[in-house]
Amino acid sequence: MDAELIGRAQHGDEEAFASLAVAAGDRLHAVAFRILRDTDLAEDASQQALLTIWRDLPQLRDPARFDAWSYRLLVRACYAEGRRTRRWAPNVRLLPADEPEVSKGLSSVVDRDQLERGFRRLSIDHRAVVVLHHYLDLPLDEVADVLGVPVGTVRSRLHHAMRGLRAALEADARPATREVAQ
Amino acid sequence: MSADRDVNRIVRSWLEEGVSALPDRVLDTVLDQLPATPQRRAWWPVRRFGEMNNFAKFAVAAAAVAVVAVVGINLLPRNGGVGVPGPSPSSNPTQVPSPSATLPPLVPNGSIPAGTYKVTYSTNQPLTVTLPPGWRKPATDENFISKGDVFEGNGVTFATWQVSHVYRDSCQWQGTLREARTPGAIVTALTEQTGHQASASTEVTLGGEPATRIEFSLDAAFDVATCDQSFVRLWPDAGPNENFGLPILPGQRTTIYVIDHGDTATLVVGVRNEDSVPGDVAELDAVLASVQFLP
Repeated sequence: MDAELIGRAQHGDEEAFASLAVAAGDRLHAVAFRILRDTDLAEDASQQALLTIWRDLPQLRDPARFDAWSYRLLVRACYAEGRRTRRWAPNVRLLPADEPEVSKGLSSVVDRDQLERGFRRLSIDHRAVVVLHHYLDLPLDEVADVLGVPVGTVRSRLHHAMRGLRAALEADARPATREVAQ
Repeated sequence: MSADRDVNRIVRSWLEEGVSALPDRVLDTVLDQLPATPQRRAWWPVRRFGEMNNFAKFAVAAAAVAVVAVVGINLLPRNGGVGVPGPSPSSNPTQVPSPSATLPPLVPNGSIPAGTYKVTYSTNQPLTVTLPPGWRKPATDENFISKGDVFEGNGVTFATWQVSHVYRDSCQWQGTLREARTPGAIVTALTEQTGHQASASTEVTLGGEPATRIEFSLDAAFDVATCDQSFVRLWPDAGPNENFGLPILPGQRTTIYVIDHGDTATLVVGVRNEDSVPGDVAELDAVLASVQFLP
C-alpha cells in the first residue's frame, strides 16, 4: 500500500483515504465474506472495518504494516457482526449439479455442501485462522500478528479447524434435503 | 499426511469461490460517513523512524548493522555444524550473555521468541530485558512489549520511556505541561501530579541503577469522559510531542521506575489491569526484575 497515501489519510485527507478504501475494499470484503459466509454480514463487517480504519489510522505507527493492521480491524468487525446478529442460519447457495467444475480438487457439489456445513460449525476464531492462512496465504506468524495471539494458538486453531473440515468432508451421511438460497 | 494435503487443497479451492468485490454502495456509504467520523489521535507513545533526529537514525542503523553482522557471523556453520540457534530463554536475568552486542534487538514484528534482548530506543541508556514465551511487540506500537492487549483487555505491558515534560493534572491535562528532564525533576513532577491515585515514591534499584518507584492507578469506576479527550495521561512523548503519551485506563495499575542516570533519566513502566491474569502479572514482575542497564 502506498505509504504516502496512508500518511495523507492519517492526517485527515479524505480523498487519500478514498483511494485507500478503493484499493483495499475488495480484499477486505473477500476476507469478510469467507469468514462470515454471508454476503450481508460481510458487507456490514467491511463497512465497519473501513470506518474503523479511517478513525484509527492516525494510530498506525508503520505504514508498511497497513495490510496486517487492516486485517486485524476487519477480523474484529467480523467478531462484532457475529455477536450482533447471530445470523448463523445457513443461507447457502448450492451450485446446480450441472454447473461446470471451476476448481481443481473440489470434486463435487457435495464437497462444497459438506465444507460449508463444516465451516459454519467453526467459531469465528477458527474461521479467521483458516481464511488468513489458506485464502490469503499468510504464514502462521503473520496470522498470529494479525489476530494478536501467540503462534502456538494459531497452530492449535488451525489444527482444530482443519480436523473439523476434514471430518465434514469425510462424513458419510448426505443431507436429506438441500438448502435453498435465501 | 497426503490426506491432510488433500484437505488443505480442497479447502483452498473452496475458499477461492465466492464474492470478492465490495459493492459500490458500501464504499459510498463509508465515504459519506467520513466527515462525521472524527479520527482518533494516538494517546500512547511512539518512536517512529521518521521522527528521529539524524543522529538517532544513524545510531539505530549502525546498531542494526552491527547486530546483523554479529548474528551473521554466529550463524555461520562451525565444524561442519548447522549453525548456532538464537538466544534461548533464561530464567536468571543476571546471566546476560556478554558482550551484549550479540543480543538481538527488539523489533515490532509481533510475537517475540523467549530470550534476552537489547533495548536501545526510548531509553537514555541501553538495557537488556529477558522475556518469557508469549510476549509480543505489537506492530502498531513500537514502545510497548505486551502479553495480551493491556489497553483493550486484561493484558500486561512493559515499556521504556524518555520524558521531557509531565502534566500537572493527568485528567484535565491539556495546557498543564511542566518541564521535567532530570531524574529529580521528573520524580517531583510525578509525585505532585493530580488526577489519579499515586503511591508515595520509594527509592529502589533497578537494573543496577538507582531508581525511584511510584505506583499509579485509576479506580475502575472512574469516568474518563470527564477528562480531556476522554483519557487520563501522565506525560506526552519527549519534546514534548503531545500526539502521543502514556495513558492510564480505569482499573489499571501502572508501576513507574524513574531510573537515575545522573543528568538524565529513563522511565521503565509496567502496566497491569485489575483483570490481568495472576500468572501474567508475575511474568511482568519478572520482566521488570530482569532489566539490566548496560554501561
